[in-house]
Amino acid sequence: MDFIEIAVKNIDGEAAETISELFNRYGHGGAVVDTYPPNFDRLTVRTVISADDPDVLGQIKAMLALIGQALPNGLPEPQTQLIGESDWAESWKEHFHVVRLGQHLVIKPSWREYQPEPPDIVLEIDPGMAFGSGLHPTTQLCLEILEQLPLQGQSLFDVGTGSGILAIAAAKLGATPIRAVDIDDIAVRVTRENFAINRLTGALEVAVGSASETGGQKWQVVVANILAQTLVELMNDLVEAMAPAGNLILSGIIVEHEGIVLTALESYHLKVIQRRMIEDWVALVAGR
Amino acid sequence: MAKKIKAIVKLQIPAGKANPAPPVGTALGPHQINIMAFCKEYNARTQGMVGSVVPAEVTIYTDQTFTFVTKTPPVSDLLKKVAGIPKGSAAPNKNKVAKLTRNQVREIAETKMKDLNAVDIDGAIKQIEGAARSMGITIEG
Repeated sequence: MDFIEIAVKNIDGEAAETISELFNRYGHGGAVVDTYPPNFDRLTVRTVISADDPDVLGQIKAMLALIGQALPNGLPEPQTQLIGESDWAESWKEHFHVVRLGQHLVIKPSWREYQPEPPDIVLEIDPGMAFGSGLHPTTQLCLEILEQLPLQGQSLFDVGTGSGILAIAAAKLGATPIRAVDIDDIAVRVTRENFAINRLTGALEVAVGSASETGGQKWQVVVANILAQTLVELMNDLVEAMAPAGNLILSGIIVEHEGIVLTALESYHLKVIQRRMIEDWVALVAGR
Repeated sequence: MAKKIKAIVKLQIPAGKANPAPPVGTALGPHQINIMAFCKEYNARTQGMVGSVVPAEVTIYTDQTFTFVTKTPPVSDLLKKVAGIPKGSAAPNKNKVAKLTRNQVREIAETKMKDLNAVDIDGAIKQIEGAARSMGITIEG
């Protein structure tokens, strides 16, 4: 999707507050105020609108003119620029490099070169607009846990798969069959692409859906790297998806919300077998 | 030695819904920070407030690291919630869309006080009243 960015630059805090309110009302996804040293009191306010919606641009410009008339120093002319999808969707790639995690895992962005050496296990990932680049502590915690579990020949259900990174790691660590679900169809498409990039074949399934979409079977490992509150909401389905002696890996838990997840696990008579932490993110492994 | 600030970016975005598309991507992308990390962290911290706009003030350092704090929702967001309206009036002088009591305005002012440039609660109330008028909300009592 292409966007038009509208920016009003070099204004004071009072004008910025009024314009932010306007941009919140008419812009796509909110307003942004930025400021740079040494003049932290001079601000720029921005928003974006869909490039297919020129009427909104006209409305915003008319409202800005009215606001300008009401301010003692007026307002500078708003500046607009077209932002194509490739401009914003690709810019973050520059700072995504090859990363080593756990003992043998190597995350290689699909656009980077890397010569693997034994016993490297290379996960080739292009997360696109899906979550799961491997750079975030929540993903790193899950990867470390997966690497330590005896996954060979174990079935695995990945709920909220994002880029598919955990399912791919599990497949490379010997888990089979694997089912990955996500409620976001972009994530499902990205996961399929990442399975193909990694030349993974065999018992791999990807579908749009949540924890209840188990594919009609129980799983020896269920992994969900989402957010604490969502994990609690999904707990019944996650527990239902587990085989009797299965492991449930939960991640995406910021430490201050760990309590609600522990309470939910307890209410299903699940015991925490392992707890890991990176920065203020916690991952738990639970079983019956 | 304290880290050097490269920029401060305040994002006014819906709680729990940050993603790398604009405006988040276009605001943070040029500063070369990990946008996905910001989105995941913001969504985790604001998940209980879905339905509100929760501003995040992101401080970006010259070494491409960042920290952020969340702020109280914007005045317009609080006014809409308390008044029970989906949006303000397009013609606030002519079309009034809701009424609030002075006590309701005071409650909003108390919530916002720490993030407003107001000296005291009366100053904050004045700012809230001004914002209400600009949205076609009248104050009674």
